Amino acid sequence: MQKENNLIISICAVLMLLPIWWIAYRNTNFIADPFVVATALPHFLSQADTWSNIGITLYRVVLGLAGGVVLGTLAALAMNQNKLAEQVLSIYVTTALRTPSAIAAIMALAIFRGAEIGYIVVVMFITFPFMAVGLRDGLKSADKDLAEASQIYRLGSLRYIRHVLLPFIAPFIFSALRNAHALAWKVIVVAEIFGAARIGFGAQFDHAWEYMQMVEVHLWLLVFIAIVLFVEYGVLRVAERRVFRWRG
Amino acid sequence: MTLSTSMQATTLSPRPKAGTMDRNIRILGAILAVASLFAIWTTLSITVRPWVPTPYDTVLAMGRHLTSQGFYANLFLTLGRIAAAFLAASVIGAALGIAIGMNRKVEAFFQPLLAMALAVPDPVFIIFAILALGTGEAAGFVALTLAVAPFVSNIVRSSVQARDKGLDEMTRIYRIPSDKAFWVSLVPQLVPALLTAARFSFALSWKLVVVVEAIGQPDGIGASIFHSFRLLRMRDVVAIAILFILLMQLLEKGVLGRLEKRLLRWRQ
Amino acid sequence: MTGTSDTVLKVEGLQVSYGSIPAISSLDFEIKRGEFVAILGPSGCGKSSMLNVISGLLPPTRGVVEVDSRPLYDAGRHAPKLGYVFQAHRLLPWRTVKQNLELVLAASDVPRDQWEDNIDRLLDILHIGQFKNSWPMQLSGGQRQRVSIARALLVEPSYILMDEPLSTLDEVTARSLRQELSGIWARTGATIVFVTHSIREAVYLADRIIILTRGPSTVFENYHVPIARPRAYDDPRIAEVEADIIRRVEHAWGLDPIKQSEVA
Repeated sequence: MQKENNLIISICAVLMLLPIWWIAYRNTNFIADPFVVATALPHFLSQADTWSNIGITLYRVVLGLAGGVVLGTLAALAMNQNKLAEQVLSIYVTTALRTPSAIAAIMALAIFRGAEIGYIVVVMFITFPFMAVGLRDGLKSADKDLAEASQIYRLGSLRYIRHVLLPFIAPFIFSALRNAHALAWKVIVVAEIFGAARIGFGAQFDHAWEYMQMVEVHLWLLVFIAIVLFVEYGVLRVAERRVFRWRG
Repeated sequence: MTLSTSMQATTLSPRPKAGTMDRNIRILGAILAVASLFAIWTTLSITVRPWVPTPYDTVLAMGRHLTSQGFYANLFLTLGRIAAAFLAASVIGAALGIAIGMNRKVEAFFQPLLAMALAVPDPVFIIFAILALGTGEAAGFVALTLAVAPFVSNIVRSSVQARDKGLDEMTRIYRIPSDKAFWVSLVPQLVPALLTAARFSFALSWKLVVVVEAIGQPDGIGASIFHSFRLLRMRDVVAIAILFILLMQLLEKGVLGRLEKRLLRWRQ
Repeated sequence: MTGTSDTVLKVEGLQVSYGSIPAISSLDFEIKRGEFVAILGPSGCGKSSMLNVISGLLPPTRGVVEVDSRPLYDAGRHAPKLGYVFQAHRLLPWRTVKQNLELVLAASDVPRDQWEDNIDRLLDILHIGQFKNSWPMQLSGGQRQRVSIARALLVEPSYILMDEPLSTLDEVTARSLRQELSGIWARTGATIVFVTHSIREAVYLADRIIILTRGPSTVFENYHVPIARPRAYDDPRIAEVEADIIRRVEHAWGLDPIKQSEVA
């Protein structure tokens, strides 16, 4: 009962945006007519061009994020193994954390001069510290909490990793992954706009804005939000729930 | 999209206990890190010349900026923008986070809206704000606040929901008026989360201000970085960026770090 | 049927349920002014529901809960003052002992010019006078619970509820605090309702023990402890009464599974 009521409230909150959108449209000259946007949406979604732009951004995000995860994991493992490595790498992590994404994008453009790898590297560079720190915290608390258990039960190292360590640090992995994922989408748009990309969401958005094609701007924005929310709630959280189903 | 409180750790560098062993490792580690960063930079400056400036040129440029008036004018302008957005986003985000954390219905209403707000790319906020408010100070302020406040709200909300419900019962039983209970019981419990949120809000504000100024302002640190980039003066790009980042780092450590120590005295 | 003037707490036909799940089916008891009553029940007897109702946190689903002849729940400005000693101390860790006590005094009817004296007197009774300006984190578990007891006494409550206040302490500390508790009760004349799982603790402390059935609970028996005060915790008579109560409740609380199969 309570849950259903709350769901209704949530739906109302989202639906409320439609009249607000309409009022905004009537009172400004840069908000597009929601009805025009709605009618343009099917055509927009049926164009191959739309999907190739979404595809290229998705490609950059996925590869960049994958690189960030791998790099972050390696960094976390090294930091957990060795004090000196921890000291060295934590400075690298701090440096990456403290670099505004716009500056990372400019530098990538300077170094890679618009090559595809540049955008991937930016996403990798910005997301890896979040992975590294999240995982390192997980490994640290695992060392504290699990050392005795593994000694008492004399598990082999592979079985230890599979049955003890991984389940223990899984929450850390997921939370770090969610943070990195959220950030990746934020960064890629900045990277595409500042990195003068010719294709991809940021490039299209920038282009549409420059020519004041406001319907296009709205279409791109809607599609972008939909994709981000889908990956976050339709993929990541579903996977997380599956992994943690034993929690009930 | 929830960048959760686990990020607080990312803002804290590890602070090992002060043994001589540890101290030596720390110094050695710092030297190694700086030396290797320097090596990477030098290599890049040779292989990707002239797009990556040499460390030497950059240091010279840093010196030049540190002695020029224009740099300070831009810096203070940017600092003002950061301070305004940081305060607004922290206050609005914290208030929203408390309201959402205390009431399931408020949560049901705002949570989907916040999720959507977090999925909007930052440049979109900036561009729409400029369209709505023109290129004045207001646009940047509104865009920054909108981009940062949802993060603050999420951090504060999870802390409110994790509060000690036993203390709520205690204040009810001893008939402590609810407005007083809010200030003496709930708010102190939130202090660590509020500090985390403040750090996060500050870090995000100064990183985003660069984007805001690059897109929508004629002046400020971000604008001068981007202006130098357009003229392909890469040494100025890197020099201003490094100076700005270091200054912000100092500010965070100095002001927020001291505040934290003061507010959490009772934990000793 | 109204309680006589020396009835502090009256519970009549109390029923508490969550949705369709009953936690308390029908509960009747009265607490008289100055009594030390223990409430004893098996685990899962709806103890926390009962505590929530007789402390005014939760409305009764059905029935009457009155304090000094007035309904307890939602009593607004005329709400009776209660003291509560929780299982955990529930002090505000960012306030010193004195500040914690002043917080509840500010919400009580005690005039301000008496605060200082009352605080000093109670801290002395509880032997924690030197910790007046300490923070809770600086105290031991037993000392924190003493502060918690002082807090409950300070507001001059109609009665004090104690929810297994000694259960998280080590036995040595619990013993000395238990002993002091009877002394404090005798000195202050407070009305105390003490909820516990420990039969021996109940016998040692209380005049009367309200024994509950397994949930959804009702009163199984009002047991008057036939031992004069002062009592000693190791007094063989206490062990005898304890054994007597165990004999009585064994059936009501249910035997453990193995014995049940033997009976069958």
